[in-house]
Amino acid sequence: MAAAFALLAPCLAGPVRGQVAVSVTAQSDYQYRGVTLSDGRPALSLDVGYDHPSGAYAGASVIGVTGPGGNPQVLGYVVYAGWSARLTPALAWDVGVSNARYTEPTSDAYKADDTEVYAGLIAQNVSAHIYYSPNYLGEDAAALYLDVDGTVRLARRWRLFGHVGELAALDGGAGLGGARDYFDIRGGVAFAFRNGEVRLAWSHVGPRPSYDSGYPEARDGMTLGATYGF
Amino acid sequence: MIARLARWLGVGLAAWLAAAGLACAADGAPTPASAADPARQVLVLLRLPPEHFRPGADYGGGYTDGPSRGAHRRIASRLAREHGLHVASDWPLPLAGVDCFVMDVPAGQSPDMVAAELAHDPGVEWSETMKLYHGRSAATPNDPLFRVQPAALEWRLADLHEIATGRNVRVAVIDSLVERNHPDLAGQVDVAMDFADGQAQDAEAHGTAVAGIIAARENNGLGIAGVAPGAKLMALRACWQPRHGADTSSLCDTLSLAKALHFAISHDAQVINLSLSGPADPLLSRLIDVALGRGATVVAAYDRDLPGGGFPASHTGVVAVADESLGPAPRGVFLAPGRDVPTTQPGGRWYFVNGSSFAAAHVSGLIALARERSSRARGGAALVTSATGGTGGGAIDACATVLRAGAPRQCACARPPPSPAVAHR
Repeated sequence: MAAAFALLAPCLAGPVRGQVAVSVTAQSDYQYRGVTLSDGRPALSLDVGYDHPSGAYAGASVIGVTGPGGNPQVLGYVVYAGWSARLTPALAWDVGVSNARYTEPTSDAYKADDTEVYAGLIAQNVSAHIYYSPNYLGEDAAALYLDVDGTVRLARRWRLFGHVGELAALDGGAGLGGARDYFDIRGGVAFAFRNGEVRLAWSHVGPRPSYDSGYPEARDGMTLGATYGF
Repeated sequence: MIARLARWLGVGLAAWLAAAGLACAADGAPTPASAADPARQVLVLLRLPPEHFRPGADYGGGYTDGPSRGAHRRIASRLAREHGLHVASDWPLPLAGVDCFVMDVPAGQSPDMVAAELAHDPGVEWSETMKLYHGRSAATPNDPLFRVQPAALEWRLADLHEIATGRNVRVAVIDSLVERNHPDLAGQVDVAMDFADGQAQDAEAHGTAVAGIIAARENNGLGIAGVAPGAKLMALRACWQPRHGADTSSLCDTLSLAKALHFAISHDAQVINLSLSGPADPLLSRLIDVALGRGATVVAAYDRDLPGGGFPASHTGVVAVADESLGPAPRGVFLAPGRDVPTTQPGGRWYFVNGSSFAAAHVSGLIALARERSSRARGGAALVTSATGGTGGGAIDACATVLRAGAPRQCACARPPPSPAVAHR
């Protein structure tokens, strides 16, 4: 990760101004590919992203949840860096690397340290990425994850969104609770207001994975989220 | 340590959310309608970065979603503050790779100078003044409808319709408000959007006339037959009709046209009709290039009073069309019927219209016919001219154009016209 930021450093120092985006997201449950990481509790995340005119980008998210006793607690963070560029006015490619560290909600110990490299294509209303992780969600297992996301704009402020993801364990599933692969789907409706958006989503995972790192199993159901950008 | 950090984070985020809530409340307040003169507005184009991975996002692709909107608005607010401007509105144009902000320039400042100063800001892709575009129609005579259409005779419209009607070809009419329920247009408009002021209550003359020439219903016992009655119209209002007197001209500006063009492109319009002209513009040029790159044909009215025929007719790749009744046009400009053309008008009526706007509408319809026969029939190269059989402009041979696109050789259009006395008025 440090190397990725080092690669970006010359870009950040360039004479052309990049764009910094800051946003806050509140969610009724922090889900990662259909698996709840907040044990079904509400989560708040602060996201900072930087886009350089060259196409280089980097960002970080800090996620907080309500811990035992009602005290706020850092659930984890995600840092990422990559490069994206338009192939045509309506199609872009995207490559990068991300690192996520999450705690178990009931303790302060980090339980997952997950680094992924990814590549994808993003069109106007649909995107697809493939991710490779040598230690998926902190498990002792390498995995590939492929996802496709889409959105359909119903009106200027309303849109439907959907997500389909497939996780494939590269070690026969020994490190992922015995599951060789699983899929997750997510869909919902979003309403945009000036700099933000409110989303209601339903998600499902099958078959339900069980991780040694202690996270609760996948949780189907509705989640409510809102993002505001500054 | 972590618990302390988390508490600090929680307090900080709560404060941020409270600020966001206040900002939302402010957004919810009615925004006073901009009374600014478009001539005193500038467009500030901020780069729209290509979309990319974001952790935990439910964005699903859409370039215009996500946190970058907030970043752009913050940049625009800073620019407005630094230059003493007011942000009037904004509209993302992802196909052009920009987020467009409209800013009002106060009296005492030159919009040209302000645009030039803004263009030097490293956060700005470019800046330009708002420009105005006029529909190219002559005054509409207040005469009853004659059952005569120039294209019916000169272009042998009935013979053309044996070959093609433009079935399912998507034609975007970027113009003033089309009367969708006009008896000759009912069912012809597939989608209608308003990108102008959004306040139009009544249909407007110019857009309704252009739409009728392109796609009025055929064999319904009413009015006229459009050149391409099988086409699916996208009635995109980007122009407005002055609300005083009997003026039926239309006026558009850079942003309204950019919005409509962007919609037409992203909804796969195969023919885009721009019966208007004005000064060249980099934002519109970029969008037209995107449309051409996606295989759309862009047809524009040629204005003999403007240098190069005016923009967008002067733009490379655009099919420029002039009214044939006004004599020869420069090389590369096509000629089509544009005088005494009966067509649809608001209020369920029909009138004659004149001008290169309506010549352009004829050609948009003809391109739709050719496009039905062959998806390769695009741009000026799809048109065959009468004099030379070439495609370098001049009077159009409509039959040859459709035949070349892939019509059966035994069709009526492949035979000579009955007699010159009948074929021409």
